[in-house]
Amino acid sequence: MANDIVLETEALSKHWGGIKALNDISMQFRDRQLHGVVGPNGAGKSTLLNMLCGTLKPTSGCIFHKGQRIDTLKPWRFVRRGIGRSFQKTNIYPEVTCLENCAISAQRRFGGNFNLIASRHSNKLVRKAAEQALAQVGLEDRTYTLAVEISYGEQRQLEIAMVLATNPCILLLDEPMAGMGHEESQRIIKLLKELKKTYCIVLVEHDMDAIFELSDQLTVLDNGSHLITGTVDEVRADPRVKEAYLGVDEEQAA
Amino acid sequence: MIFEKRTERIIVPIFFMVALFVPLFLDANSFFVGKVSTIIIMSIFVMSLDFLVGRVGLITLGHALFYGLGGYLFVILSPEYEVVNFWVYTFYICIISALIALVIGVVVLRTTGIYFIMITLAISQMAFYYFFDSLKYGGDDGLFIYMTPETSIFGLSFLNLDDPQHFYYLALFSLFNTLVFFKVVLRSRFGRIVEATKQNPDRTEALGYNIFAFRLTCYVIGSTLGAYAGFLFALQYSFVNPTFLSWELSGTALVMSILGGLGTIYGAILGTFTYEGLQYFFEHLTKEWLLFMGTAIIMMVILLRKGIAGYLEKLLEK
Repeated sequence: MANDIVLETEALSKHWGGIKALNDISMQFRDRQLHGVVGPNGAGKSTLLNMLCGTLKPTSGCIFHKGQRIDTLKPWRFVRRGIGRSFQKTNIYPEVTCLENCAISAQRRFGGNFNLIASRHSNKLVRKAAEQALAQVGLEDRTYTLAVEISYGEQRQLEIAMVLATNPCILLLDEPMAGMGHEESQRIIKLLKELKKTYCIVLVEHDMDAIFELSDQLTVLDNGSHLITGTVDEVRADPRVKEAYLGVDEEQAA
Repeated sequence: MIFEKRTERIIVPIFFMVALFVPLFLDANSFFVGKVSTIIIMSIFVMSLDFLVGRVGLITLGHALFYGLGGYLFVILSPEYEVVNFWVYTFYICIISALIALVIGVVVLRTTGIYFIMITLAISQMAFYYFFDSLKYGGDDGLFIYMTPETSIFGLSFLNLDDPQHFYYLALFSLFNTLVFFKVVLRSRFGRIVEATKQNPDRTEALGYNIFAFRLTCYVIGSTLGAYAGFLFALQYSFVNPTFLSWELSGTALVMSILGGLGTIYGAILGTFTYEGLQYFFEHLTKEWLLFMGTAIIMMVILLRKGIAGYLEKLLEK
């Protein structure tokens, strides 16, 4: 069942007054695939991601998760359905340890969130899930370090660990490699290769090499419109894409 | 251990030990027993505000609404010339205050930041002018409580609220329970999410938590304890009037909480006692006491950035 469509958008649009941030986008995201989304600045990549996780409501159009319409739901309902997102700007809890960061993410699924009496440390399952998420991204040795004290690259990894701790089935990643050095990027690429075996991943990224290396499906957005969706080779070969944005790259390669 | 910091483990026992024995060395009917009871009641109020402002991140300027509500509810609910049971009415007042806080919370928590400050202020001012102008509830004179409630539980009575010393211990007992309650709540699983919401609300919502529900629960808890403090104060002085609801009281409580160390919970006790102590001192020193009081507060806020509790923590932690 590797090709199940888990997330689907239908004629999705977002307008800010007269400006069309996104216009009539219909896309399908399949389970256990990494779907790359690229486009020049202002193409609407982040807008798309913000709508897929529920923080932005579409002006028109719908989003379906496993066949059910979800775009009208509150953002936190999206997470409960297994749609987790990471942020472009590092968005963690700086004043607590890495373990606590993941524990906050993990706690929701184990219940007792309105338990006013039981100590937060009493549920061993939460701790286990948090440790597991840290191990998944390779941050075990930072377990008890305050999140503010780890390096920028590690904070990006923690960001992903926090999404994983919510036990999602769809990962929406907003530029996980932004501002990273080459070595750190390689570590994330390795991690994503591992993750896409089990999750549906939607990846917005500026690092073209990474996107080409990772994507099963690749979508190019330009100026809020959908340009093309296909495999990496199909996209590379498409003349419109070259024109819009990859052309310079191709020339350099030649 | 619910007291995580060393400072708390030192300060809290010292305070309660001293507070426990103070009345024994004073004349039972002395002015000071009553005065300290009042400050203890105020500490409960400030603590509930400190929880909301410092720990949940809800900067409310309308907390006095619930203080007044606690007092007015008792007078409105209880029959005028009949002795009622203290515990039963505590229960009634807490339940009704909680319901009112729930309704108000649903409205005010739709806003954040400066709008939240303004709307809480507006709602408490509405209540202030309602009671100020109402003939039924005594207008600006307020209402008297003619009968002090009795305190028997299953026919056993060991507390006489007309006795200042007994009342003092009731207030102290309430303060202790409030402190322990807040500490337990903040340590709980619920507290973890509340803490997370204060630090980073957007992320907490993106992790699947309904942050509105968490804030609402906190608002109800804090407001209910604020109402309980108002109820105790009304009982101590046997009256309630619109000044209970005034925004000056909300503001003063906020200053006390900042003075004690915002968000430290136990700091509310330090802040309230310091503020009231200073006021008492300057009032007896000069007619222009407000001038000195203001200067002292400004100095303390400048010098002690994280309040008295923050200063003590700097001295005592490691």
